[in-house]
Amino acid sequence: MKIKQKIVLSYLVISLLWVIAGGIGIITTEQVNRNFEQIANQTIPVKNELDILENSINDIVRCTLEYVLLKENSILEPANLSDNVIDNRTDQLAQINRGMIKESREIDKSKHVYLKSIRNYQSLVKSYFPDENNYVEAIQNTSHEVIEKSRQFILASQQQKSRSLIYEQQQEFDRIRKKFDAAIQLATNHEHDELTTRQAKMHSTLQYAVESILGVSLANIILAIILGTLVSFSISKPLQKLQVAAQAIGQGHLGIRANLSTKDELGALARAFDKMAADLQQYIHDLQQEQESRSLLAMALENVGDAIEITDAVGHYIYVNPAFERITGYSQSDVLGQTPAALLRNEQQSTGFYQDMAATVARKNIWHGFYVSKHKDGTLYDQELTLSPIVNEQDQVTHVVAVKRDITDRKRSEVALQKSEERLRLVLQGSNDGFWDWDVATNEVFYSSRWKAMRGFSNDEISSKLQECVDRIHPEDVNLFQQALQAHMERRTDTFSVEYRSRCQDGSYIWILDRGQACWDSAGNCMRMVGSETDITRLKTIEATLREAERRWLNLLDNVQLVVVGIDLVGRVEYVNAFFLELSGYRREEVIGKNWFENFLPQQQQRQTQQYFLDIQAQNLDTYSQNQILTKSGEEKMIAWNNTFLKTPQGEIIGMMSIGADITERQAIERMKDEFISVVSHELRTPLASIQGALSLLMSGLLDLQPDKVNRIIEIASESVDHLVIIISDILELEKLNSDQMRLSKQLCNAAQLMPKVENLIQVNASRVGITVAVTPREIFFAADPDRILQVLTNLLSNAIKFSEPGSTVWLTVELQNAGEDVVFEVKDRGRGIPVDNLDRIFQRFQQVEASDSRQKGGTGLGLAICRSIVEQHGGRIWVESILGKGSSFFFSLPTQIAEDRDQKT
Amino acid sequence: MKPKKILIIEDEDGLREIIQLTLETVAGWEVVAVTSGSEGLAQAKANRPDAILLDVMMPNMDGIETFQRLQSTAETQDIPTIFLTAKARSAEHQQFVNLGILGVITKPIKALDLVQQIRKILKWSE
Repeated sequence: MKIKQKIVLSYLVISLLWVIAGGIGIITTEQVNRNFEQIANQTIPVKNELDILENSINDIVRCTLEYVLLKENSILEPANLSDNVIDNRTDQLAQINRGMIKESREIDKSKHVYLKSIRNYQSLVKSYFPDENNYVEAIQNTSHEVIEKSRQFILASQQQKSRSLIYEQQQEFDRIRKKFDAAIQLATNHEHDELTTRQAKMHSTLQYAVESILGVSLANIILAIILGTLVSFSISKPLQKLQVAAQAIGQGHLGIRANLSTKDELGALARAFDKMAADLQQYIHDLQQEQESRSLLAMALENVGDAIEITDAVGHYIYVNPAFERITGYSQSDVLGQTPAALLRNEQQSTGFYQDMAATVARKNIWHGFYVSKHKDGTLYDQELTLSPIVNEQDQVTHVVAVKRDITDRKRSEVALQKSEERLRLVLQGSNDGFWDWDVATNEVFYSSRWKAMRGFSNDEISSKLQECVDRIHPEDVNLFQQALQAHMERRTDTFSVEYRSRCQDGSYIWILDRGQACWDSAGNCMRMVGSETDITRLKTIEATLREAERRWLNLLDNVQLVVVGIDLVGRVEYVNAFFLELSGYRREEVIGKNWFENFLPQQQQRQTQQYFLDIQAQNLDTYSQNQILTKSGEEKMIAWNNTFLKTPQGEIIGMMSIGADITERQAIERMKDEFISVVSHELRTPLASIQGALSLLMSGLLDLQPDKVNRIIEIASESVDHLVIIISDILELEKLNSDQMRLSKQLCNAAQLMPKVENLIQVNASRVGITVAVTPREIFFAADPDRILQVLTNLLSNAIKFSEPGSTVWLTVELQNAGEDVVFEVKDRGRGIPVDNLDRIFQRFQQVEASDSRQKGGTGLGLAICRSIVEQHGGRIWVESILGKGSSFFFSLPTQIAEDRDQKT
Repeated sequence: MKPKKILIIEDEDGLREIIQLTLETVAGWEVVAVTSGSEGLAQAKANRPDAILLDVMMPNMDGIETFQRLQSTAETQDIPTIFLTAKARSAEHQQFVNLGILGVITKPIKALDLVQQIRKILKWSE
């Protein structure tokens, strides 16, 4: 459908709707007007009649009241009348009678009107309001009643003399009249209601008409809007598409189309537009391609590394590119209008050369060659030149295009390459390396003469096959070689490098360090490998020697009973030997890499030892030192170190290697030795001091006159000599026992025989100090040196007696223990006892419970040490149990060995 | 001239007697002799001797401890003290000197030598 048709159709539809709406309005208005007129026509007569009716009744009432009033005025009270009054009264009465007659006539006249009116009214109401008779009857009844009452009222006034009675009649009359008024009011109301109802109906009808008109109008408007929208949409949408397409094309999106399929004028316009756009797109595309092509050509000319110049038919420059300027030194403005011959000609070049060049071009042939040109600054440079004539349709040379390349660098590179090759050849000769070049595709290998000579072959004894190399590799090294080769060919390694043994002509092997580099094509295939070989046999021999030496050295370090620790400059442990691990209790991985000073030295020595390390490092001193180390269990070990710095061949210190001996035990022994010497020295020197002091005093003669003092001094000296003798004897005996010089003469002993013997030996001493010795012998056999056991028992009993109060008892008993395997002797006293912390110490040499015991009780402090030595030599044990203040019990056990010894005895 | 007063602290009875007799007889000094360090401290405070001859190896309180207590007591710290000891090694003597002792006399020693050495150490004239 055409656009015009669409618009016309829309107007027609809208107009039709407006006509319908107008018709409805007119019809409805007409109907309402008619109803209004009808109501008006019906209502006015009824109302008129009702007014007449009311007026007539009102007239009757008024006339009645006037009549009654006149009648009332005519009544004269006799008691109050004078003569004058009676005279006047007659006139008045005449006047009143006339009035009364007039009123009476008025009443009749009104009654007549009334009767006529009531009839009209009834007929009107009946015709217009057939359903509403009640109030008509009420009007009729009340009006009749009014008239009747008027009659009665007049009659009563005529008969009654009393004003009060007349007054009562008047009141009754007023009441009836009000009733009539109410009936009239009712009728009026009914009419009014009826009219209101009918008017409401009419209003409703009118409102319906108005609403209908409005509804139709609204529908008309909406429809008009919809239709308008649809029409405008159907027109604007294609236009919009066209506009969008046009804008897109304007912005360069040439592929955009309107794509309208409608048959109307816009569709035709869009199709034309699309075709135009397609044509435009194709045109622009072609144009762009041409521009790109030109631009590319221009860029190529501008950026090409070769100088390009174009000259016209007479040889003048018309174009030169930037490379021309760079190569020749001339700018475009310099050359335009000039000729190449004028600017670039090198006078050293022969004239024939230029003539040949010009003749070739003139023959429309391309000239190509090398020559030396002249730069703007006058320098000469090598140049490769191509001259191409451009020939027109008339076969005439119109232009010449010259392409020039500065080949100075190339020339220089060729010279450099020659030098480099010469250098490489010299290097290979100088390094004594073999050289090989493998063409992977043909599997041909070039082996240099040195390569062959290294294996003992002359030049013609080795073919160009890869197998010449591979077959000579030691069987143990073949895999290694092939893996290295494969890895490099697959580009997994940057260079090919492998060490292997290669068999020589005489069957011996040499060590080869083979290094090479592959070349790959664009597909990643290895095309070629080139490399060199170094004879490293001597290095390998040295390396093996060094490795063996290192192995031996490490073996030595690991087996030596010395601590060996290597640390770096910051104190990190780099090496520890097995002995250190054994001594410290650490595992190797717990030590390596840890800080030596912080982890393996007692805290109080860390800073001092580290500072010492820094000091000797600063002074570059190898030193001896001693410090404690801390074992894993927290034990401290004293180590005597020999520290040596590790240095690079250039003398730079890189760490320290310390070898140390564990002197913990040695130090303890030294300390014990010192203490022993000190004690022995004291024990020996003290009596000696007394002796020497006494003797020297005697010898001085200063006491010659004091015999008492002399005697006392001699006595002291004598006691000291005795004490010294005992000490020396005990020391010698103890030394003898400890050095195994004294052989035990073991035999089967019976305790029952030994114990009485010892009792006899000490009985004298005991009796002297009032001590009872209670011995309880038992027949127990054991293997021992009886003299030595007697010595032990005597010593223990002597001590017991020595430390017991007079009158007390000491006991000697014996028993078997440990299932008869041990015989145990006990010497018990009730002496002063021994403090607990002295119980072990008293068996050591020169150890007594009280230092003064040696003086007060005699003895040297060696007795118990001798006892322990004797018992231990018998394989037994000696110990003491004591309660301070209550006494002590000394025990010693000896193995019985009864069966064996009894057998021997038997 | 009032004789010098010397306190001997020595636990060995015989030796103590010999020394006392020597110093009294040979040098003519007034000698007080006690058997232990604690007795020596009390005597030193009470009698203020001119010098103390002190044994080193004694039970309970040895000579070193006795000397240190003498040094730490105001009344006795100025009394010149000499060790009389059986310890004869030079390292031990050096240890004593480091403690601040005035001199060390090694046992055994002859009577006249003892007096002479005491005088020398204390710089007493005869």
